[in-house]
Amino acid sequence: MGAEATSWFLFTLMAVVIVGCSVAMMLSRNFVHSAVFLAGALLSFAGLYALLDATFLALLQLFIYAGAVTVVVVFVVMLTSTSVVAFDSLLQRQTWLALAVGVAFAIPLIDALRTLAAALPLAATAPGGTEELARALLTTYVAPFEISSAILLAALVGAIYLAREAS
Amino acid sequence: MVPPIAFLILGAVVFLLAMIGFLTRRSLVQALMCLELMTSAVALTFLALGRALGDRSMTGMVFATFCMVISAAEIGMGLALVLLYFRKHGSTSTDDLDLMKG
Amino acid sequence: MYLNAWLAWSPEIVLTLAWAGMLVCGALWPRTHPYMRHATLAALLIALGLAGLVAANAHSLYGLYFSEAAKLDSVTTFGRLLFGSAGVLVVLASWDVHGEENAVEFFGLFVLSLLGEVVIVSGQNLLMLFLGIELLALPTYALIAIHKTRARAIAAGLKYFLLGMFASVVMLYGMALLYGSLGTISYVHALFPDPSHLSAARLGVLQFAFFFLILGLGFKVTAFPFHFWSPDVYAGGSTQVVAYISTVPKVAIMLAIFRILGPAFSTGYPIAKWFLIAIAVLSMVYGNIVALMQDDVRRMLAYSGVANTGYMLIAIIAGGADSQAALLFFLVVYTFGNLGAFFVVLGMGEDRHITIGDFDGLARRYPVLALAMGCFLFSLAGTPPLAGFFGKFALFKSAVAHGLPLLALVGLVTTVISVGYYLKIASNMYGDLVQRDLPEGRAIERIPVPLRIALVLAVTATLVTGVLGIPLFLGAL
Repeated sequence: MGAEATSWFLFTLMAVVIVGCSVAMMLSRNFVHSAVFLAGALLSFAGLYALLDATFLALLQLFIYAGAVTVVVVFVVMLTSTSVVAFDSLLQRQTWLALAVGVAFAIPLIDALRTLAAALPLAATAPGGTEELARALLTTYVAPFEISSAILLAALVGAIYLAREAS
Repeated sequence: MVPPIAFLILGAVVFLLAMIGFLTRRSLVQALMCLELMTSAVALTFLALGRALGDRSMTGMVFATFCMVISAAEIGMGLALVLLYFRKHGSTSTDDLDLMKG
Repeated sequence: MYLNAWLAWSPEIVLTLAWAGMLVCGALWPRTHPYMRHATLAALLIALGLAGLVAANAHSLYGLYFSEAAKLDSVTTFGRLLFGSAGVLVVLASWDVHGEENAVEFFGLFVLSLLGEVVIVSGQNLLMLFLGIELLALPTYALIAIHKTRARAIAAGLKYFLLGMFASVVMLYGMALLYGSLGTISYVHALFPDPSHLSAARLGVLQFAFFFLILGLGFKVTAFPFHFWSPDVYAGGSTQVVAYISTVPKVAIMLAIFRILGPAFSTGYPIAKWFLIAIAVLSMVYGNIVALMQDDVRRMLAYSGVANTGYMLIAIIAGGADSQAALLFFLVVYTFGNLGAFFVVLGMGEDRHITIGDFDGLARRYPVLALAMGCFLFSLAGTPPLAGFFGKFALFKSAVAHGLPLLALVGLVTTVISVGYYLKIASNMYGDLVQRDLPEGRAIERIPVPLRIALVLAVTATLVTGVLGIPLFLGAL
């Protein structure tokens, strides 16, 4: 099997896992199962990033999502309610309506994206790896980089304040 | 080599799917999970577009990195709010919230 | 160069240092908690002074900074001064209301949110805009629910968070498509180029990009189909924070939209322009008519906010320098009028619904409060000689000048409708001369002195902008 076929095989596999896990996550009646399905989908996203030669982002995705986020979600599910909340809304008319609107939206969108991609010259290699990313983050995009630290701090303080028991 | 358009289409499909999920499901935790999926789909779109454009300024990858930063901040804040709401109301269903009612 | 950057961004640096210092002091010495509000007020005043000094040295300090990520110009200075003054008013209004144990988080998060607005206004690429909106929004999600014991405030916070985050992610997807179709995220030289320079393939994706971007931003500024979260959140959240999120973030995002669309937009993109016109007209019509039917004053102000978003969009659709001047003036008027109206509601009672009936005979019982409310309401309604009249006049005139007379007409007609609900409160305050017994539990507690100062400042600002508006009015004739 050549490199071309291998990468197509990996892409198809991960695409199927992502779509399948997303649907299962939304349909599942048990939130812990939902969290596991979410972790599966997010892990496959890491694989896709790696296929796009974004190795560093793939690692970040593994650590942040599969590690931290999923654990926190499971924690909150355990802390709040393990009981099944009424889920009768999911297969009602409005869901079919939403699906129909979604499909009606997706077809022209995908068509436009295909036209765009066909018009672009195909780049043979990735524009850069981790080193270029680091350089861009600390030179061209240094202002957003610093601002993101303030955002994380704001989220941290806000989350601690909200989750703290009243003294 | 898989062409970027395949990633773009997958990104669009997952984004719209998670969007429908967000608008129709009834559990707060699952709503947050759908938001995470949407953010990941956007990050994938940014990466694929950066690749397709052959952008030497790394804009696509930088934007994807910030998508992750924001969604980490978002999930922390969101789960803290869900926890607080649960302590007060004893349920995590969005029905009591009436999201679409003006 | 480096020294210039330090000087140019000194107001933001002062606020950042103040916030970091407050956090450390608050954690180490709990006895400093009562002084957090003083520290915030002092930091805001210093930052305002520095912003004025920077503006006075415009020739050497204005320009692009941080690899063209941020721009310091007269619009940024306008934003700094307006956000800083609004910040001072909100800090004064929140002086006594929050318990000491909340002080560090409340004032710290509030300052961070103000910094986010400066990022939005000064940003020159989509990444800065996105991060600015997040920095503005994340603290407000917690601030809305700052009273953790109130169930309504928590529900409002959660709703605001879920829909706000959803809007952010939708906007983010729009930014991704914009990046794909234009190949750049910078809007130093206008994001939307002349459409004849774009291939059909790029224009196809650009339409979707614009749709998603406006969907996301529309949520944040409560434009018509995306406004549905605001009445509940405004009615449920703590009033000072609602006064803040109903004004300052909207101003910042409107300024950013004006920057993004650029000069080629209003002539080169007819479909997108009609999309915006539809949103503006529906916002004005729907917002004003539904506001007419509200009994809860906070909800009424929420719908009046939807209508005002429509008026602001008029200037954005018209485009050009005269529309920008009109927009800036209207934003000042709207900020102080709306802040003031919410402060009066805050003074009348924080914990309960304030209905229009609560204003019965207010002028007899609390003449000064009624006078202040009347001043804000008539300014929002656009009655001469108050500031709102000149603001709306300038907006409609710019629309006519750019070949949109029907849009100006819709604005004029809906303004007349809006006088109805503003007048309803005013006539309740003044018209009821028959001595009526005060309804049970509707007496107003003593209004704290800092809130009084905030009200006086807001009235002054409304009157002064009205006086300043006269030359604008005369020049336009």
